[in-house]
Amino acid sequence: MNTFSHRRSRRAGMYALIILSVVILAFPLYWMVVTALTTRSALLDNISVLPSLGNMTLSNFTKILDAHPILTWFGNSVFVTAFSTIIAIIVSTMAAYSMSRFRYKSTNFLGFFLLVVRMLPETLLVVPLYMMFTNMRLINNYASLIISNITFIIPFSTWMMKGYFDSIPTTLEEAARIDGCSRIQAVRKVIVPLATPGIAATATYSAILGWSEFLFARTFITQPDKWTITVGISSLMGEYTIIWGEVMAAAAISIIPIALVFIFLEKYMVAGVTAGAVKG
Amino acid sequence: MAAKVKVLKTKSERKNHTMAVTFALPAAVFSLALIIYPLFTTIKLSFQDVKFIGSLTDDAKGFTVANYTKLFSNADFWNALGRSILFTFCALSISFLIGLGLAILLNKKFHFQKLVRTLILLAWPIPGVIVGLLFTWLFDGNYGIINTILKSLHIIDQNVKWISTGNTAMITVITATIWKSYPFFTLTLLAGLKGISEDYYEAASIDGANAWQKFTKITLPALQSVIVTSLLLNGLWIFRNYDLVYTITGGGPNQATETLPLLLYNQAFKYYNMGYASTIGMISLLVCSIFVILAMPSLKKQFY
Repeated sequence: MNTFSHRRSRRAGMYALIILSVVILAFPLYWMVVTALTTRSALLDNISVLPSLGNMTLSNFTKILDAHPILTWFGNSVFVTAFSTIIAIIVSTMAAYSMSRFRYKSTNFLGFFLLVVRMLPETLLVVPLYMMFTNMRLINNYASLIISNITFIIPFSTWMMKGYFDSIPTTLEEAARIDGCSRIQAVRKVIVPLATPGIAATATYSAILGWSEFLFARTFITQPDKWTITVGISSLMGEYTIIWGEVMAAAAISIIPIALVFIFLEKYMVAGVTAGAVKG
Repeated sequence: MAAKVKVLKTKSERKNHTMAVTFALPAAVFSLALIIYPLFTTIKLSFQDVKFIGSLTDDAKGFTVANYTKLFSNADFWNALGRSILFTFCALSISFLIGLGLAILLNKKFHFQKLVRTLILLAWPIPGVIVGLLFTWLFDGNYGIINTILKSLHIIDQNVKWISTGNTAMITVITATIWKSYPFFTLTLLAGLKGISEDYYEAASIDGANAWQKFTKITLPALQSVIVTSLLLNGLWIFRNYDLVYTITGGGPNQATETLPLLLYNQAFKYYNMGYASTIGMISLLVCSIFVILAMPSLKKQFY
C-alpha cells in the first residue's frame, strides 16, 4: 500500500516535471506566435504572458508582406534549399553506400576525411570561398550558394546515411544478386527502398541545414531581391524602429516549412539518429 | 579495419573496387574543390599581408609572419579567444545537462509522449538567425517579456537592459545558444538510451541498486561514446557559431560578445584584411583540432 502511493506520487512528480519543461522550453516559440498576432499598441503596453483576445490581429502579417519582399525571399530559400538538398542527398547516398559496403583504403580515407571536414569552421572557409567565387564571377549567383551548401551538407548526410546502410544486412543484396540482379539493380530495387526512412531523415536534416544557412548567403548574395529568407529577415533588425509584431510575423512565416517538415518527419529523425549518428 | 583492406586479385573484386570509387567520387570531388583547396588558400593568405576589394590588392607580396605577430600582440584577439572559450563552455555544459535530463525524461512512458517530444525538440530546426531575433525580442530592455516575468516574480525591481550592457548581453547570447543546442543532445542521447537493454536495470534492481547507482553504473558508461561525440559536435557548433551571436548583439556592446567568428568576419568583410582574417581562421582551426584530437578515440569507436 505504501509503495503504491509512493509510486503514484513519483508519477505525479514526473508529470509535473514534463509540464514544467514543455512550458519553459516551448515558451519562446509560443511568444513568437503571440507577438505576431498582437497589435502594436498592446505590445508597448506591458502585455501579460496570457494575451487577451481583444488585442489579436492579423495586420502584422499583411503589413510586413506589403513592406518587404518576404515571399520573394521565401521563394529564393525554397529554391536554394531544394536544390542543395536533392544534390547533397544523391551524392551522399552514393558515398555512404560505398563506405558501408566496401572497405577499401580509398573509401575508409574518404570517411575519415569527411569526418574531419565536418569539424571545420564555416567562417574559416568563407574568406577563400568569397575570393574564389568573386574570381569566377559567381557572386549574386545562386550557384555559389548551392555549391557551398552542398559541400557543408555532404559530411553530415553521408555519415548519417552510412549508419543507416550499416543497419541493412548485406544478405539481402546477396539474395537479390543470386536471383539475377546486377549490383546496381540490387541497390536500386532492394537497398534504396529499405533505406527510404533513412533517406527521409537525412533529407530532413539536410533541408534544415540548407534553410538555416546564413553566413554564405549573407556573403555571396548582395542584391536584396536575391536574398534568402534568413538574410532578408535579419535585415529587418537594421531598421530605425523595429516593429516587433511585424518582425515576429515574418519570423513565423519563415519557420513554417521547416517546422512542418520536422513535425512530419520527426519519427524518422529519431529512428535515423538511432541507426545513423549513434551506434550503441 | 586493416584486415578488411584486401589486395585486389580477381576480376569481380576489381569491378567492386571500381564501383566503390565511382560511388564515392562525387563526394570526394565536392570536398576537395570546396574545402581542401580553400583551406590551402587560407593557409597561404595567413602568411600574406593582403587586402581584397574585388580582387587581391597585391598578389606579388612575399610571405611574412606579420599577421601572426600582429595577432598575438593584439589584445582584441586574446579577449575574443577567451570570450569564445567561456561562451562555449557555459553554453555547452548547461545545454548538455538540460539535454541529458530531457532524454531521460522522454525515455519514460507517459501520455501524449509524441506531442511532448515534438514540443521539446521543436527548437532544433529553427534557424540561428530566427533564434537570435526571437531572443532579442524576449530580452528587449523596454518591452521584453523576460523583464515582465522577472518583475512579476519580484526577482528584479526595474527593467534590465539585457542586450545593451556587457555581462547581461553575454548571458542573453548564452541563453539563446542553450535553447538552440539542447535538442541535439536530447535527440542523440535519447537514441543512445533506447539502445540500452532493460535487462541491465532489472538485474541491478534485484541486486538492490538505487536509481543513482543505476544511472552512474549502467546509463553513463553505456552512453559514454555517444556523450563524447555529441559534446564534440555541439561544442564545435557553438564555438564556431556566427549567425546567432551576430543577430543578437553583432559582437557588442563594446565588443563584450565579440567571439572569434565575429572578429574574423569583421576583419574580412568590414575592413577587407583578408590575410589577417585568415590568421584568425587558422587559430580557430587549431582550437577545433584540439577538441577533435581529444575526442578521437571515442569518435573512432563510434564511427568505425
